[in-house]
Amino acid sequence: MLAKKVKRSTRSLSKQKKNTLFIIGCVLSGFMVLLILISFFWTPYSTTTMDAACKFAPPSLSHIMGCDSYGRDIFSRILEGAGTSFLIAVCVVLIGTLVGILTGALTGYFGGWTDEVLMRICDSITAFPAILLALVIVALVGGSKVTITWILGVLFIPSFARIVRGEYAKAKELNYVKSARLMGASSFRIMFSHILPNAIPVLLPAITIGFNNAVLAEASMSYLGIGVQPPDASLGRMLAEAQIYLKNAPWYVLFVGITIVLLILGFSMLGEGLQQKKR
Amino acid sequence: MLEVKDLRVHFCSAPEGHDAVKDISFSVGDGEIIGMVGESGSGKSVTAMAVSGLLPMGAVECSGSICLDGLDLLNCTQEELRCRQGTDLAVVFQEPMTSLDPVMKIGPQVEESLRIHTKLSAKEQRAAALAAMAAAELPDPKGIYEKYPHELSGGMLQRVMIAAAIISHPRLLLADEPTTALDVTIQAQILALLKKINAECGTSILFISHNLNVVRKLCSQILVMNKGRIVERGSTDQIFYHPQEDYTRRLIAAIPTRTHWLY
Amino acid sequence: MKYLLKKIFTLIITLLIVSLLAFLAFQVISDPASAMLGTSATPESLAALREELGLNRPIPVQYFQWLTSFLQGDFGTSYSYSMPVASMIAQKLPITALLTFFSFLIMIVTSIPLGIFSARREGGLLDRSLTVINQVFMSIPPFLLGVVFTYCFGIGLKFFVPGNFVSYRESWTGFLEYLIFPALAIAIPRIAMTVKMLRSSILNQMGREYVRTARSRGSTKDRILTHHVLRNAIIPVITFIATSMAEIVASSIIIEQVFAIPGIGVLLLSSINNRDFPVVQAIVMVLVLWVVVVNFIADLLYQFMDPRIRLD
Repeated sequence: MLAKKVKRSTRSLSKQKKNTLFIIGCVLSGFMVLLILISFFWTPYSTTTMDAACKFAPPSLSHIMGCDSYGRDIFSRILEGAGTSFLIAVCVVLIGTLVGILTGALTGYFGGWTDEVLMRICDSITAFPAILLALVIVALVGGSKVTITWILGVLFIPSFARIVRGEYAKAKELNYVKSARLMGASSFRIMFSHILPNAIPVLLPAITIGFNNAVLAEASMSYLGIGVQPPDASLGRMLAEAQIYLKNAPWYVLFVGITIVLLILGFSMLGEGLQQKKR
Repeated sequence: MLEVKDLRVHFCSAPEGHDAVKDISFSVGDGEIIGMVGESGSGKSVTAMAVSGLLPMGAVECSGSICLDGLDLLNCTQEELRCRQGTDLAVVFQEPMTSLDPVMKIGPQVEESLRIHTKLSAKEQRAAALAAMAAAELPDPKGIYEKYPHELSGGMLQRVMIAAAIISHPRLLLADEPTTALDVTIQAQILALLKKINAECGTSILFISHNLNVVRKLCSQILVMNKGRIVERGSTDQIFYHPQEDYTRRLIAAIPTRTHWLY
Repeated sequence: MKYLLKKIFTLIITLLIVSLLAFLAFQVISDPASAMLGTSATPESLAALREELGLNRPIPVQYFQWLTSFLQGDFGTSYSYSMPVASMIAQKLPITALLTFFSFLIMIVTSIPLGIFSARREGGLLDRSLTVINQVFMSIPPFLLGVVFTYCFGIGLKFFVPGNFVSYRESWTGFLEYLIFPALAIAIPRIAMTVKMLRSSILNQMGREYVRTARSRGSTKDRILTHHVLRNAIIPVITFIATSMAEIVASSIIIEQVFAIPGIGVLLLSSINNRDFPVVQAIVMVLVLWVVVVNFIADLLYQFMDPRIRLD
């Protein structure tokens, strides 16, 4: 399979360019996800054990990323933090996509003034940066792992809904939908058995972008201290801690930073590759 | 004036590429109107693009020669070719709406070849543009000068394209299916306009079309193309009344005419 | 004209709706009285304060009163500092505004030439490596860049002293010098995204038929790029640039925290932590106004640049 792929790509150079991004994206994000999944069951060290002897220890064979101010192994903590950020981002995207698909499908297919009103509301929400809105809501209800997930999830609904709605509004006019209607298929059936499979490919790049934005938003808010609260770990929170000890243990910032970048980069390349595949 | 010898255009797409035009030769004399007909894929548009120097450089290989007043356009420098484009060579394309810059006014687009190739002042360029637009039988050239392409109809836009083409008094005007996208009544007007330009300015015209009827009205000589080769050539009367090749006969028979309805 | 008026009308409606939501959220749902007095307040003092603040009057009346004072510049009084919110904001707003404009300027000045350059060099090894580098920069969050800059240029190369903010009142050069790295941290990821968008827009335009027409008239590639393609290519990028302006504002809130810049962002965050709602509410209104106005201007610009959608 891989051999065939390579042969085909050597024939036209442009195709090869497109595939590389997708492949790197797959590999990178796959690697990160694998690490995170493993970390749910096992980490090199416990994330809470404080070993006073290791305070600010630089990277070594026993602690490959060194230790933090409390003597905790940084690598294990990063794994845990990445896991939290990843889970939150996945839940946010899930909420956004599922509700977004539902809303978008209903409004796009049926249209009418509910469509107008909902789309206006969606446009107003998407006009503002999600972080600003999230900050405001957190101001009212306080921040925690769960609140952040719900808030960001709800804030992400409009962008997905818009895309889905666009696809449904377009599909409504296409012949295959019209013939399905003539054959007596129920609206529900048309929407979810016929149109949805065609709308999903358009949604995939948006999902990866949404995932990245979710990771970013959560990390930013945790960095500011209003997102995930201790004892829950989060990459953003860790970065804030790491910044305090920038002079003593710069590798702390380095490793946390690289993890954040790799997580986002993997999925962003994946999204890019998907978009180019579409072409 | 234009001598094409053994032109071969090879598209380098996977896997081995294919020859869109296979060793064709023809010539266009001063003031002649030559028609090139054939179905889609016969290579007529590719020939027109080759003559006007608009083939995508990386994707094709050409051999043979295209001599315009002695200069071989296939084997000259990019700069020499560029100097001929817009001055001696002009092209009118099929879709006038997409062939014009949507965010630029009509006037500057008509003047463009002057702007590129001459050092005329803005006033002189504008005067030349208005004159060309009048020659292209556009009503109210001054008003249209200030408009944008999306504000005009297809027929008007095609006249604008023609005005832009004739503004520098080209030796050869290439018309690549210029009437295909237009209504039949407008088609007749554009054809009449082209004939007038040929008569008054002596501009040779290479007219590409798949529509035999249109070619018949306009051209004195016809080249019939099929699968990259010229299968028959001759005067319009010869082709229509005494077609030699089987393919030509089939093309002519395929024209829907009023006589068919009588039977 | 009519279109303009309609747009302004929509703008005002949006602002009113947002103000209503903000009012409901901060004045009605969360009890200002308990926020002011804290958890140790007695029920009597809470009731007395509520009466004093007029919280027992019907909500529409409260809203109307709040709105009128707001429009006159009275943003209420801070719970934590007992100062007029308006003056607190007036002190900090210019700093954030300058940081935002600085970032925006850097973004525009860098991404347009880079986008054009990148489109010109399409295909080939340089282009492919630049694309990957671009992708990497798009994935670095601004606050991470900020921390990295603090280390490399602050602690390492000692170009600036982290945390040592210089106000423009003291020294304009010191102020700008301190703001360069925060502005860069905000701008760089946006630059990467804009370059990508502009590049793909330019390449998209280069495949259009009017480019072929220009070539047929003997135009050079450079001339086609500058005279035709750019103006067409920039149109879809304008909306993105407008969104960037809003995103830059959001990023600057976080970056202010990284570099200890005493702007609106820091004020917002401390007010959120202190539950100082009048301040939060006022800042939210200011930011909303800002975003809405920016989008409005972008819309106007869009109209100006694309004659096809000009409506009257």
